[in-house]
Amino acid sequence: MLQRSYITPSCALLVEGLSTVDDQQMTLLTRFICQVGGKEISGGKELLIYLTQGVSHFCQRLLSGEGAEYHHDQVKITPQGQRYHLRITSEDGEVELDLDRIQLFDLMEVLDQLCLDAQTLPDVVIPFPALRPPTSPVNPAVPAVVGITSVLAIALALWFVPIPEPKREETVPAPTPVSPVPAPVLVPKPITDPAELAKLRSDLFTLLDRAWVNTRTFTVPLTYKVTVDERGRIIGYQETPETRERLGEEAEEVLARMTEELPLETLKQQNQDLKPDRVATFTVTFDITNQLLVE
Amino acid sequence: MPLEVPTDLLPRCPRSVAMELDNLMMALESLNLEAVEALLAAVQELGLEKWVPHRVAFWQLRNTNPLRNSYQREALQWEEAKALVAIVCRVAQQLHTVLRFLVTTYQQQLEGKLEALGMQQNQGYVDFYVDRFQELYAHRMRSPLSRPEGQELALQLLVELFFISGSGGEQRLWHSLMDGAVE
Repeated sequence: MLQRSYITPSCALLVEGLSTVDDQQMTLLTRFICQVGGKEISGGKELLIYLTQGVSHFCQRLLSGEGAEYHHDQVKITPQGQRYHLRITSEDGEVELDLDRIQLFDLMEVLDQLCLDAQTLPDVVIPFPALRPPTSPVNPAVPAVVGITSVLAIALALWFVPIPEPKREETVPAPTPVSPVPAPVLVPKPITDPAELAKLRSDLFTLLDRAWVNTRTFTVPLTYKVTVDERGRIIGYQETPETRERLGEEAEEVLARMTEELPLETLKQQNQDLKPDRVATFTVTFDITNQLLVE
Repeated sequence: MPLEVPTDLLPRCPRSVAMELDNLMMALESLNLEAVEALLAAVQELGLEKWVPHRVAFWQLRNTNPLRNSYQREALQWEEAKALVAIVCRVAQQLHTVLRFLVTTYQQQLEGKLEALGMQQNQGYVDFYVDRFQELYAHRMRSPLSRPEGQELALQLLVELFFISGSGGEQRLWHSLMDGAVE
C-alpha cells in the first residue's frame, strides 16, 4: 500500500493506492480523502477525476474574470456572493462546502500537485480544454463557392446602405450553371435591443482585436460597415465612401491589400454559408494609431 | 510540461495576449518595488536569454501592449509570449505569501469581516497596491481608466496572480490567455 499526501495551508489531500510497476509509482488508486473548508470529501478514482475537472475548469473561468456555474456529473460549483459553493455527490452521500478564494486556491493547488506528480497516478493530469487559435483557420479549398456566397454577403451589406433606383434588366442572361444556393429572398431583420447591440459590439471588438495581428501598412484610418448575425459572426462588410475618399487614387489597391492584412475577409469567409434571421451593423475603424474602434 | 502553441494559427500572438501580460507585470510592480529586477533575474534563472537578452529587449516586449504610450507596432512572437508567461509565473510564485495575504484581506473586506476580526489596518496594504497600480497605469497607458475601473482591474489582476502562483500556474496562465478562443 502506498500513501501520498499533498498539503496547503487550508487543504489536505491524501491518496492511497497500489503500484503495479516496480519503482514505487502509484498506478492504482484505492481511495482519496480531501479535507477542506472543515469538511471531508472521499471516494475513488472516478470522483477524484470529476473533482479535478470541476475545480480546474472553474478556476480557469475565474482567471478569465468570470465565475460561471459549473455542473457536471457529481460535482457542482456555484458562485455565491463572495464565496463558492461546492456540492459533491458520491456513493458515500453528499458533501456541501462553502469556500472562499483562498480555500478554493488551496483545493486547486493540492489537485494540481497530484496531477503534476509523475510518481502518483500518471494518467491523472490537469484537464485543460484543447487550445484553439484565436481565429479558426481558413479552409483553403473554398474558392469555388466564394463567388456565389460573396454575392450573398454583399447583398446583405448593401441592404443597409441607401437603396439606389432599381433598374429593370431587359434581358436575363443566365449562362452560369444552376446555383446550389437558392436565391436569398429572406431579408434579415435588424437587431434593435440596446443590450443585445452592446454585447454584439463588445464581442465584435474582441473578435477583431484578437485577430488583427498583421503589421499596419495603411496610412489613413480605414472605416468599414460590418454586419454581424445575432451570434456575432461577421457576415459582410463594406468600406465607407469616406474611406475611399481618404484613400483617393490608391483606393482599389489598398483595399485589395487589406483583404489580406485585416482580418475581416478571413472572418467573413468562415461564415459564408450562414443565412441569418437577424443582423446588426457596426462602424469599425482601424486607426493609424493602431487603435480599433467599434461603434 | 511544455506550453503548447495552438497549431495552424496566426504567425504572431493576438494583441490581447500582450496587453494581459503587460498588465500582470504592472500588477507585480505594484506589489513589490523590486519586481522589475525580480523579473529580469527570472530570465536568467529560467535560461530565457534567447528571448529576453537584456533590459531594453524586455522593455520592448512590454511595449507590444497596444495601450501603451510608447507602443511600437510589433506583435509578440509565440516564443516571446511563452517566455513572459514563465517569467511572470516565477515571480508570482516568489510573491505567493504577499499575494495570499492581500487576497485574504480583500476577501475579508468583501465579506465585511475586517472590523470584526480587528484587521482594519491590513486594508491599507490592499489600498496601497491599488493606488500604485492606478499610478503606474495612468503614467504608462494612453487611455486613462476611471478610478473604479482601475480599482476593478487591479483587484482582478491580484486574484489572477494569486491563482497562477501555484504549481500549475504556467499552464493555467497560458490557457487563460488563449481563452476567448475557447467556446
